[in-house]
Amino acid sequence: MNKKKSVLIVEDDQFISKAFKETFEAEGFVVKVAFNGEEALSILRKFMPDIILLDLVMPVKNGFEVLKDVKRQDKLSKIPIIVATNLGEEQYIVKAKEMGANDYILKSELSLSDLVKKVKLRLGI
Amino acid sequence: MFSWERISRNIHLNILFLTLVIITPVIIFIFYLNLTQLKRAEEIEIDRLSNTANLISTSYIQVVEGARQLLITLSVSGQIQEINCSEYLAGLLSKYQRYSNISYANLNGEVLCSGVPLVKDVNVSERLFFKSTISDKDFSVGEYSIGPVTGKPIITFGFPYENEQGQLQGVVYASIDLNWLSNLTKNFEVDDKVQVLVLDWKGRILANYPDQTRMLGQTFPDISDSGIKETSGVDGIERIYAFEKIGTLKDGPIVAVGMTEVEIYKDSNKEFNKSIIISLLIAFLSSIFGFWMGSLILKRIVAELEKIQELRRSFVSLVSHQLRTPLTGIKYLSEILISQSIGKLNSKQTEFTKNIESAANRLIFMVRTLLDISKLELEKPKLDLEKVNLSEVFKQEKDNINQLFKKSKLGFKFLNKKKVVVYADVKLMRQAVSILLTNAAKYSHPGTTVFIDIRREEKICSVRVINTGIPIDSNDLILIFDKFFRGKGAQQKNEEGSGLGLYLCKLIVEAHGGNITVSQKNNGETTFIFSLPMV
Repeated sequence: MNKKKSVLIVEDDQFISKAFKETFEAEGFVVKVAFNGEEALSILRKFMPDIILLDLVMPVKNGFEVLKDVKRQDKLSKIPIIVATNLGEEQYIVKAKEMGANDYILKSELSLSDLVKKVKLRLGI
Repeated sequence: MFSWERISRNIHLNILFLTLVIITPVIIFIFYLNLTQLKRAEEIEIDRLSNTANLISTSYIQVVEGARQLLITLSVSGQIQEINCSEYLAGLLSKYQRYSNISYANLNGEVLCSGVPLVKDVNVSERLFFKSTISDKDFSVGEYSIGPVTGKPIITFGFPYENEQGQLQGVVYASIDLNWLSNLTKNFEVDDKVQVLVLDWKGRILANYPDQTRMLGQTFPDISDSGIKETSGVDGIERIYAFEKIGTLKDGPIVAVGMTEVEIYKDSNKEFNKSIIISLLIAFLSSIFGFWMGSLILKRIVAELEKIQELRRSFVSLVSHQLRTPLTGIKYLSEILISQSIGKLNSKQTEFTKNIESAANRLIFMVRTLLDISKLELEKPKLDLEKVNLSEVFKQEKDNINQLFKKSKLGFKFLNKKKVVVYADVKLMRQAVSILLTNAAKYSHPGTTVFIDIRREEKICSVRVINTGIPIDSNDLILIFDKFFRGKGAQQKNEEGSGLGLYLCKLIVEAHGGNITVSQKNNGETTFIFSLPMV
């Protein structure tokens, strides 16, 4: 039997993070949720997810800082990161990709089912 | 649409123009002042010439008067009738060195006495001074001649000699050495640039300054009694001459004082050129300073405006993010409910939840549209230009909204099969095409066909989207591309809409350097035409 895939959801909006958690759990993922960047990095010290869904605008530590920290650590740098945000400006897309994000999605423009498809595609399942 | 580059360029041009507008009349005024000064300088110089001519003429009167006095004294002294009159005249000659000879001739012109010894018989009956003295019985002056006795260039003055009964016996006459006369002009201390001439009545040169003995006896071509005349001298050089007659003698000598135009204008021209150069330099420096100051002010204004623009950009970005986030929550949670993964919904619950999702999607769409509009309105958008096959864009966007076409059983047809490729921002172009096709699908009569006509017309590409449906009120046609405008037909049909679509479409087309219009036929056939440059 295949090992369950795990996802770390870094999202400060409670409704969205709840929706993500519900959806990915229903899809059979192990889901960990962080409400800000600091929390995410703290989880990552103990838990190695298969993929990270990362919001950008968050309190305490924003998504770019998380991206920078994760990509700096050899142990974590291989984890694929999908930036899931509502910032649609080209400058943020370019910046995130330059910092090592594997994908960039505008949450409001994508359905949950399409998001799941993207994640599965990225994980090769 | 704002373009700071364009505004900045225009303001720079305006500053330059304003500077020139201010400076030009100043330069013209300075030029005018200098020209007036130049004219005045000319008048002063000409006055100076006249005064010099007058002054010199006055000095020569004394020479003439001296000769007259001498001859009067001689005619009354009776010495002329004496045997040794020649000795007497020789004595006078040594006393008055300006004269080259003093003589007496009888009525036949035969010289009877001469201060300079005669080596042959001399007759002066044909000489002007002799003839004039005989005919006028008065003091008279001759003309330039070479003295028959002395062989020197001379001018001769004559006076009638009468006996005690008042009968005319002959003429006493004195000849002035012209070399002496020319030397006399030196005493006037006139400028070297000024030519002073003493002319006889025929214009022959009796004295010449500063060349002195040069040109003596030559005829001045264009003589005048008095006044100012611009003419060529004996040397062929054009000068402005002031003429003045010496005394009131008939056929008396004339003084001519001349100066070339170059010399007249030399100093004032120098001044004129100097002040023009200074004026131009001041004008140039003022222009540079004005332009620099203007540019400095402009830079500050532009920097302030850019700051404001940046603030607006950040604000729009923040607002759209903050609006999207709760909407995304509604959208996602609705989606989960509709999927029934967390529990079954009855049909009404499903319908209402779908309504919630649809409303959230509409709001998200509106936020996206407003964001796009504000980007296009705020600044000259940076377009990612690439080759775009327009018919492909139409096909793909039609597929995206195929549900709308199916719902009204609408046909979709290209009127032109030719492939037309333009340089455009494909994302924006898709948006514009999607708006036009969605509108056509929403407002067409069921069962009709939406026609697309894409053509290349010389330097532009024109695209027509033709549909037949709810007519647009003729008053609405000119307002249809305005922000938030919704036509009466659209409102009556109760179609969802924000009144932003066609406005955004217009902004997109204009950002590509094109334009968009709408026309309508009586049968309800509506045509949206947009053109794009074929770059």
